[in-house]
Amino acid sequence: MKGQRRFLPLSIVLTIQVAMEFTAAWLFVRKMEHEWMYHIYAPIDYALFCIYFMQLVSPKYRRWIVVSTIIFALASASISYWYYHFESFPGANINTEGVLICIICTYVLLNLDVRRYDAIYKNPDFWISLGVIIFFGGTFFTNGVYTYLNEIDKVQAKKLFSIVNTANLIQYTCYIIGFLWAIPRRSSIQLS
Amino acid sequence: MGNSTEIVYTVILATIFFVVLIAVVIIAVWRYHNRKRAHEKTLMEFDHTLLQSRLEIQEETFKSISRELHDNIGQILTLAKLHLNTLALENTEQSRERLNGAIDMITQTIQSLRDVSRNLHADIISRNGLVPALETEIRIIEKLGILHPVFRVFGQPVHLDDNKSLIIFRIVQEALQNIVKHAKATILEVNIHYSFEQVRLTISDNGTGFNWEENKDKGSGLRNMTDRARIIGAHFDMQPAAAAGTIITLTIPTS
Repeated sequence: MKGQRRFLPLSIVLTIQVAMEFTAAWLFVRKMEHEWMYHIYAPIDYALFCIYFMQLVSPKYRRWIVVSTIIFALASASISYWYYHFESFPGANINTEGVLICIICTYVLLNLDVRRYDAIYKNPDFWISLGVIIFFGGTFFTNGVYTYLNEIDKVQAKKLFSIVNTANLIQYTCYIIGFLWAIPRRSSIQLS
Repeated sequence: MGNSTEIVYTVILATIFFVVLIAVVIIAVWRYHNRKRAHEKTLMEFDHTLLQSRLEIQEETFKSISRELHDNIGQILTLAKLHLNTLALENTEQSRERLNGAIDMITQTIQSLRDVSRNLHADIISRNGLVPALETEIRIIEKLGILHPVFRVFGQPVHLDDNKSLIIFRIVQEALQNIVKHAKATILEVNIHYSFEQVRLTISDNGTGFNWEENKDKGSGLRNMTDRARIIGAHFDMQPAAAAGTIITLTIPTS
């Protein structure tokens, strides 16, 4: 979107998400290990979301977000290495990421810029924050249960992902609405 | 068993989490609506103040033009007319002197008229900025001959929004008028300090000072200045000066 450079980190996140899901599906079909990808994906995903949300918060909080990105990257790498050994699905990493992003989204939602948009539903940041909150709210529950259920019954665990699917669907719907509102509109028409 | 308990806890936790998220969204919408209304009110107040400031500056400009026409241009032209009326054509030497005198006076009048047109404040602010407009205002006060004004600028001038500058100018103009009318001062100092984060404007005089107890109810001018400062996000402060008189400080953030 021309003139909407602030959405670039979000576009990169979405591209990475698509690429990763395709790769994970391909590895899954070929019965190869694919969980290791999520260990790398979590810190990258969090960092890119932070870059996007940093544009919407005051400079005072920007510094905290940068610090949280570094701490999360280090903590995520440590958990993956010592606890999951890069083998099973990193539920704790993604849940931590979710909670952190939800905190940032809550702040963004409560402090949306009222100067640029007439109504809240016309504000792209509202839809994007809402989408992120719904998605991470859904995965927060699923990932926690999945980790336990996967040890008992792998088939039942897979079924849990219908919650994530719904949350995903709502998330992308919110993103689409947000991106549509971000398209600059002509305020006048030119008659030839 | 342990696992199922943990699952129950997770479900309860997730439910609480979801409820909190829904509450956050509802509060966000409600808060946005309130903040939007407050913002619209501020915008309306700003527009109203801007319009009022424009009108008041215009009124002051008219007064200044009228004073200039009556006290200066009118007098010079009357004198020039007198010179021309009393021309004695038979006395060539005297006539030449009077004619030259009349020409000088008319030249002075033309210069004064140019000054009048150049001193239209609202125009100066949008064309040249706040500092030249304040310089002009100080010059007008100096011309009155009541007090000795000093105007100083410190630091590199920062460009302020035209509307903001206009309101600042009106605050200063009102403060200066109060000093001229009521302070019985002989010295007036206007200083502007430009820095990276803010513009600090101080107006000080050596007059009789300001009695807060006597004027707290009737000081509509003071209230106007405070309100105007608030609307542009500035801070207005009025304190008694150390020796005598009053010191007014207007702090305007540049961002």
